[in-house]
Amino acid sequence: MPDLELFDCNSFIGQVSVPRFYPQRVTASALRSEFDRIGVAGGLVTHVAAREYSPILGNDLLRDELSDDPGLTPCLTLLPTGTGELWAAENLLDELRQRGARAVRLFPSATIHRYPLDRRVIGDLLGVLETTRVPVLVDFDLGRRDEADWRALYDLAEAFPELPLVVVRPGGRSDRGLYPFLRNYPNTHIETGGYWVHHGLERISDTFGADRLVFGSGFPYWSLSGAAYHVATAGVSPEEKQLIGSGNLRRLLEGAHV
Amino acid sequence: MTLYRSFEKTTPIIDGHAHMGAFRNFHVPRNDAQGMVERFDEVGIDVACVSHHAGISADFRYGNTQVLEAVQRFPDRLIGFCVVNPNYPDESAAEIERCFASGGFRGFKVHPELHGDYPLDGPGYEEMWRYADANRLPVLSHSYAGGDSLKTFEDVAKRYPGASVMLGHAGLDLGLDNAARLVERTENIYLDMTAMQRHCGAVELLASRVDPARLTWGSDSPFIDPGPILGAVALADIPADVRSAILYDNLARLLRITVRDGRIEDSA
Repeated sequence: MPDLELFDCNSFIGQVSVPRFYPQRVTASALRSEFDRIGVAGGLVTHVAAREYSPILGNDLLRDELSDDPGLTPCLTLLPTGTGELWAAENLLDELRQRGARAVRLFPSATIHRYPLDRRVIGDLLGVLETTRVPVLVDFDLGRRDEADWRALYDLAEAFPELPLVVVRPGGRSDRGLYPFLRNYPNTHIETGGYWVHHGLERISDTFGADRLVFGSGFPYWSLSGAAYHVATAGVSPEEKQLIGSGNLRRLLEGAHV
Repeated sequence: MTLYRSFEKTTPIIDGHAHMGAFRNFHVPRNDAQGMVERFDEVGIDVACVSHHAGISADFRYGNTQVLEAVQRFPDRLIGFCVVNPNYPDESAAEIERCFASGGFRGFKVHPELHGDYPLDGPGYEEMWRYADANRLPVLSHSYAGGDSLKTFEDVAKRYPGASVMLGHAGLDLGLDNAARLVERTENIYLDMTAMQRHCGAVELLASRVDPARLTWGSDSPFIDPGPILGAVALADIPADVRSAILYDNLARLLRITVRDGRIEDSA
């Protein structure tokens, strides 16, 4: 197999509240150890506390706990500005700069941060991020039989056409909603680890281009081993595999003008 | 630069839980035998036990026929698992006879949830259980929250000791600790880890808690792509002999086969 570099768009540090099979606190060094075991160069890292407790605390913990490891890049979690809980739109870029972040993440679902994924709710932040081309990772926290809010995603992609969107864990049963999304909105992408459709990576590459796929695992919620093997064994060309493994995410991050 | 470490395959790989065909609820690309075998080649699966999506939903005779034809086309890659629909018990005996007379079937697969939450110990499954018991065949049953309890799996395993009961998805929805204890107090129940491997640490935890000789794996292909599922075992942080047991030894023993030089051979 040709050399393959993997860069994970969907990794976490922190202590998961319900670790079904992996009851360990994941420090930055523990994440690095798991990356090294599999052969993953680095990743975008979110703090578990930002997802499970509060982005206010989680983003600060991320800043404090993420080591100087240059391969571990912070991914901040945002909340709508309307309630004043987190940063206002005019302060967003300063926060990103101060925290060394070039990507952000949203958890809009009712089980996590509970807000409508709608321009009237989150549009002020997305406007800033579109201007600076900061990638936005949207994670609906889907169960295996759930469906992403595709109508909301269609609307956002239409309203912010220059905003790089990455749908995290789009699900393995989602093609009927996903294909129109990828077809109509060229600046959209999906994470591979949460896309377990049979021959799915190959089909997306052939239909929409390998540049729409971004390697991600969901570690420590989901198996890094499985996510890595999925991409490594995908029936695509070595060049496409390299794009999926790391090239696409690196391109998106380099395109962010923070 | 850190680069991906390739998996070094040391044994053949048998997939104990695969399907075939379309599914009403979502798009399944390349779901025929040809598409599946091509993907098996890419990920490294040598042999897979398949049942048909039609079998576990609308038409079990049609589904079994599709599997029969696929096994005839790929006799050294696919093994049929016969599906019976417990809601049509009068058709079971003839269908079982038809499938196993073909020579391409070596076990049963049932999906009580998709057949109306039909109980695994209900009379509609009796014909299957008797046949599996008498012929030392594996019976793979889906498990799920709200479905058959672990006690039901235990009861059928004890009532039909000649059968090997494969607890689908390792009883993920029923509590892993309870499933592990069930294995300890029975002789013929195996934990089929299919799909649960996606959860971080699941393979490692099961391998440390359960006799590795009682663990099997399956891809659920083409319901799920086999890449992430096999990868979670292939790259798991477990001893090499445990990995071999899960990927090959245990299923070869249950199916009474040896996979050698790309061929399936009968074993004792």
